[in-house]
Amino acid sequence: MKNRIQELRKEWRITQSELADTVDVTRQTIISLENGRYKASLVLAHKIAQYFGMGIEDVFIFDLEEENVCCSNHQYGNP
Amino acid sequence: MLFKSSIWEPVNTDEEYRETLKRRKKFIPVLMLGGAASIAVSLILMQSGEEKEFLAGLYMGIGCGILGAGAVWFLRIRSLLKDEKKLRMKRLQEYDERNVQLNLKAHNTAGVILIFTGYVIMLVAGFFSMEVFWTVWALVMLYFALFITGRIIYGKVM
Repeated sequence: MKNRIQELRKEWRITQSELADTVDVTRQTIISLENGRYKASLVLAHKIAQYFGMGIEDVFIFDLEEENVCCSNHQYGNP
Repeated sequence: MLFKSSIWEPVNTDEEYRETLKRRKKFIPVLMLGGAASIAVSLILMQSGEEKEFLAGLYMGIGCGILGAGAVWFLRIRSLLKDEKKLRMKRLQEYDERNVQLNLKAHNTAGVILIFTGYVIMLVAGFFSMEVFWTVWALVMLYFALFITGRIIYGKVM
């Protein structure tokens, strides 16, 4: 799952440590999230999205193909 | 209850973590008592003859190790309770979701390798020593019993 954390963080001009401190995780977790090596839990994803004043889907990009969701697109909101 | 809340319950704030540390501090005398008991057993073994010298040394080492670890643990908790910044840093390290997952994965891998090694030792030991065979067999069975119990318990709460 891709995300826009690094992009938003640079836009907001905040450091990894500041973001980590606000959402109650270590800086290493933010680094791993930005590198795509770690997938955030739903709670952490909520916290990060709330921090940037956005919805989860605006920060975390759910790729249907990458997550092997190939069929029945209508289940995910597509008619 | 005290043990469960000190070890497993999630902590979300510094204040909750402070309470958890205070509860953990209560285990230290029990731990140190175990260490002192080990040293006492070692002293008794020393008086009972030379053939138990190795065992006496082992118990003495374990006892001193436990006492030392208890003292270090106590000092660390005291230092954390006095310093807000250190407390917060330690809480984040301990409860950071990535660190928690890393620990779980490491435990999982270690468990699988350990049980596989246990099987191999059990099969080989059967040719040389039945005591070793039954000891390892009991450990392997205990592992599976605990695994199944854990699955049932966690299945009910998750």
